[in-house]
Amino acid sequence: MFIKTHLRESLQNLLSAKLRSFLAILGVLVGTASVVALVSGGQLATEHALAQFRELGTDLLAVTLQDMSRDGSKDVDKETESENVTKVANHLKNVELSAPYAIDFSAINYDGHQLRGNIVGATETLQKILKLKLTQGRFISDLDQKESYCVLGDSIYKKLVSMGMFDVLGEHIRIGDRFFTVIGVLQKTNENMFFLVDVNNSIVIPAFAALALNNYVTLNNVVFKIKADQDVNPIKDSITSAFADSFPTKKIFFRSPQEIINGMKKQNETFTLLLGFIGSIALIVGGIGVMNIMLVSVVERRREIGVRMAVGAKRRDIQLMFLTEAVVLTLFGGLMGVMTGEVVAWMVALISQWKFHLYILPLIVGFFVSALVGIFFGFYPARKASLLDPIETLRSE
Amino acid sequence: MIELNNIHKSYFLAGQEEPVLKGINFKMNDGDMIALMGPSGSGKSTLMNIIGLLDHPTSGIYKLNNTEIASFESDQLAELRNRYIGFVFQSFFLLPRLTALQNVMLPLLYRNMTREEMKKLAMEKLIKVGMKDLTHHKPSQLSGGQQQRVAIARALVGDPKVILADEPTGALDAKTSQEVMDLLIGLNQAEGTTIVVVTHDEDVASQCKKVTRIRDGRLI
Ligand SMILES: Nc1ncnc2c1ncn2[C@@H]1O[C@H](COP(=O)(O)OP(=O)(O)OP(=O)(O)O)[C@@H](O)[C@H]1O
Ligand SMILES: [Mg+2]
Repeated sequence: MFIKTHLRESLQNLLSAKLRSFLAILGVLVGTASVVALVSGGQLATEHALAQFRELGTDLLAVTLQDMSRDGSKDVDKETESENVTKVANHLKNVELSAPYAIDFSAINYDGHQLRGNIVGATETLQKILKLKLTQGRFISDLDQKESYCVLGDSIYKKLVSMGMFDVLGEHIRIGDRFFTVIGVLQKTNENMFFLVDVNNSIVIPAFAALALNNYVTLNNVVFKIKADQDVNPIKDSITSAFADSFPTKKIFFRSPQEIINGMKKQNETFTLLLGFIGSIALIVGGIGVMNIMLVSVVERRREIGVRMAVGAKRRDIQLMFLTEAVVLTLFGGLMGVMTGEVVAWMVALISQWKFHLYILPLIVGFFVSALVGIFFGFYPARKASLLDPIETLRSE
Repeated sequence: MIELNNIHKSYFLAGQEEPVLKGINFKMNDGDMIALMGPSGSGKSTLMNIIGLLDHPTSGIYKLNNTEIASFESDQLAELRNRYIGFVFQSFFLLPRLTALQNVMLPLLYRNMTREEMKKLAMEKLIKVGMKDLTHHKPSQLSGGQQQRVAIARALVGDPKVILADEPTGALDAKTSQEVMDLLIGLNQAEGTTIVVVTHDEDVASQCKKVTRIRDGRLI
């Protein structure tokens, strides 16, 4: 008997009990839909995150120096040390730009209100490397030295506006115990994971002004823009040795977009695994539902099975008939599940303002898995049907 | 063509042997038209199922064209049923979801055939049984007599050597019974199809060439 005939027959059988068929595949539908939605959603989220790096370029390298000795650095003059960092950073090979910066968390006050935010002590190259754009005024310049100037991140600016500070340029903001004059406002930037803090929620001040804010603040972070087409690893090595010579007590930590992307991919894999697990449970429940319905169908169609055997159906014909039916059922559930899942993923993308893509992998996985569910859970009912005794099924009631 | 030698059939109920057929010797030749009569419970249906290769005897020899089939696998038996035997049942046993045409095509589904060929053959048989105009009706839209005609067409569609009809007129009134009998007699006469008819009706039996009686599991 041709598989085409089996397909035709199973479709006819399933369509003759539409409601029941639909109920049977509901579990498979939900299972497939959740797998597809979650996997697609996860991929969309990763894609969204990766897009940030594409904007900045993957030729960036972040370095943080950390003091490992408890006391050694106390004797060293912070300013000299910071100048050294700048000097070392500027003399590296294969590095196009370098921007040392300091992070501080001093209190920010305006007009008696406290603001939450980060202080970034930076030089003018930071603007180039992070591709920061201004909506008003100008960025920090190297000529500013220790001047009490500041540039506002987008969120900080908006907070100030909501406090009634409309004309920000020239206004004074207290950071720690000093007042800073606003000289510029930054455009909103996308978060990026290798600059230590969120620029939008930061106030940028000249690097050397930041050193003066707090005792412990040093220029211990650097963002490098490496020359195009350069492999990042030898550059890392040369950075390590350069800093090791000048700062023997400091340990160096790297973060490159490459590493972050890899880390994120790994994280995404774990996530996908977990979702796959949840999805499989839904599919198992769905599969049991299909098995149940198929068993009921076998009981109800005992007479039909007997007639088919009487006219020449082999046991495996009967088995294949029920198995095909189960697979058609779950495939149909899978199809609807895949569509539902994609719609859900699309809605999530819409709400989160991510770009939507139709990924092929979840579609294939969804179909494949639902077919497998059909074969696995359809096997027992089909086998049971094929082992029925035709005489028993044909005995008049 | 079919020969039964000392066929026994017993059922085992709760370990207790319940003999139904007790040494049946029976021979069918090409072109026979045999009526099988006997009281209810005497084993007529059991015998028909054994002749039709649906059931195995407990002991005895079954020969088809001089070949003993005791050692045949279930797949081979299915093949033989498909080629050699056509069943007609008292309560028709048409599949309710299928049209008359599709019901008649059923035995052909288990042969390697294109759908067109199947339809053509099924149509031919439906015309032969006088159901030309009702081929797309579902069984529920047909009368008992019409359903039995469709069932006969289904039994005929594979050109079997033997038609086994177990009380084919049992569910029909006198007039339709006669129509169905006329159909079977016509087949036997025109095409030489071997036919065995189980019946309780002496009228029906008297139209067959030969009457075999069974009582308490033995032919008399
Ligand atoms: N599967 C079975 N298990 C146990 N006993 C059975 C089984 N099938 C048939 N029998 C018994 O075998 C005997 C013969 O049954 P069978 O159906 O052959 O009778 P029959 O001659 O066709 O009767 P009827 O005219 O009522 O159709 C009956 O006593 C019946 O109860
Ligand atoms: Mg009977």
